[in-house]
Amino acid sequence: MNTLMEWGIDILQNCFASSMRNDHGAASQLGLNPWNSIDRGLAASQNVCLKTVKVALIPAGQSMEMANHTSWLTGGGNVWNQLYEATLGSLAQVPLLGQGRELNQRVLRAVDALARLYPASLAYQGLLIDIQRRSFEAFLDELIVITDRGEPLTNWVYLQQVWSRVADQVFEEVMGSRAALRTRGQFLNAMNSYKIHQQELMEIYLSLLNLPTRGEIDDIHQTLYQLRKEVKQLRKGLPEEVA
Amino acid sequence: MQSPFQPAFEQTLLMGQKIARGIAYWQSFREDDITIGATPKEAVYQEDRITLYRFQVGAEHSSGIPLLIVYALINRPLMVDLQEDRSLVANLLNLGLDVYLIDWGYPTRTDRWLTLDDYINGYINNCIDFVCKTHGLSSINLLGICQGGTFSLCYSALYPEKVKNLVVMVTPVNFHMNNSLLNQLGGCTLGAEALDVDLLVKAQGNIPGDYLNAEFVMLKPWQLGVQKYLNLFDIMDDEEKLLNFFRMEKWIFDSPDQAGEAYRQFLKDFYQGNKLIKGEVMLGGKRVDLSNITAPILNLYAEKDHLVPPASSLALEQGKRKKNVAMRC
Repeated sequence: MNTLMEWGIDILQNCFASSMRNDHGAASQLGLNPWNSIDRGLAASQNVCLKTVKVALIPAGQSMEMANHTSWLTGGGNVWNQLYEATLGSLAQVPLLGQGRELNQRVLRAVDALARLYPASLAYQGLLIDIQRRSFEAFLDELIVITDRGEPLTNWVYLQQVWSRVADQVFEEVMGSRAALRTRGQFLNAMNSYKIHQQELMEIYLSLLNLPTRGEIDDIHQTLYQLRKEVKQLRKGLPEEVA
Repeated sequence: MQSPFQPAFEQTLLMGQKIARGIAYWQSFREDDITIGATPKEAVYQEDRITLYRFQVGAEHSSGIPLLIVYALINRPLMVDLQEDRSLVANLLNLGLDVYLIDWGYPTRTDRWLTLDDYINGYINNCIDFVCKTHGLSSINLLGICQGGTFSLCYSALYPEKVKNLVVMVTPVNFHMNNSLLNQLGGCTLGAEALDVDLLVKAQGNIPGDYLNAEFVMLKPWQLGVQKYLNLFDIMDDEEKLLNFFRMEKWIFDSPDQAGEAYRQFLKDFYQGNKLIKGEVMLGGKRVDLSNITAPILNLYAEKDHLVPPASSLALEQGKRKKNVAMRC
């Protein structure tokens, strides 16, 4: 499948390249056409786009072939790195200018956190689907064992019980693996990270509206907590009748 | 000759009858019928959100030493007094014991900064002081359940002079259980890579009870999320059993939020750092050393517990260095 994809993309690349040559080839040779450099630029950018699609589709093909939910995310040169990290992802890190730089930077970071949540969520969903697939395989194996033992599959309740037991067993085995724990961890951490950025933005808008923010209320709660603790300690030091 | 579809037909008919009867019972129930905590009790001490209850004595006292039950912060402590004929408290009262229970209440965002030091050196210590003072004693008996057992161990190590006898039930001691999914999800193998607790607490403040419930259900998603409700069809034509099911359902999903700082420390120091067994837990500037415990310990554990594996509880023997520990399964 990968070879087929690479072949298809190479054909597309060649088609674009040749169309560029056919349209402006003569003028370019004479060096008279003022659009010459623009054409070259366009051709180069189209080439980059196609290369991006190519590197993006190859791991997708691997993913489909190997039923590997992590190939979208792992290692260098994968879909995520090519489609986001090298383009929009790096934009979120670039220092901005002007009065709105701080706010814009926070907005960009929140967008970045959301963008990072998507592949993490996708990978986690992929993991759960993979577990279901494995569970079904294990379920069929278990049915064969039961049939070989000569036990009759009397009703759907029994069948459901077997499925629940086997599926949960597979779930525990797979979920306990380091790779699965990492995938789940990346999802949870990305979700929490996004929520923190979301709250930061919300606090800015609440401040603009002159409303109290979560952070301010937390500060008050923390002060109250510390004061309460201090009062308790002081009370303990007092004679019983006074306390 | 019997039709091959006859058994299936009869089974479906029987199930239909059960469901019809069950729906009739279900409709007749009201939320107020689902009561938990049948034994009469009195609030004798209150501090912030916690309440210390004393159960009303049913039989003559055979022991002058009262018992304080310390339950986990997760879920409500009335599990020990679920219903009249299934009540640990009622049985203890019938044995002549004077029973107290700490109810942690429902923490709100105001309690987000509470630490384990506040729970153990603060609330538990104050409750024990109160009970000691009420009875004119210097030490009492302590029964810790699950996370409450871990707290009780910490307390007994810090204040050995205040604990006469210690009973711990399904109490995790060694948290690095590589065969337990709960421990793995908590980061016992991968630490922050499996769960960045700092990030979680920063994002959530307090940890929502619903989040924890979802985590517990996801340990056995099919059996706890689906099979349990399918099994309900089997018992729903029995009014008492159906009511018990609802009672359990209410207890399971009545989950208080967890104070953020306390949760952070419990996950990082206990689940991820496994500091209890190493003697590295610090509470209020004092080190928790299990070998300081002088009270005899009865360590109760369940063989098929998927939340606290037996090996996790049995590790107490190692942490306590084999002094005065009796194990019961």
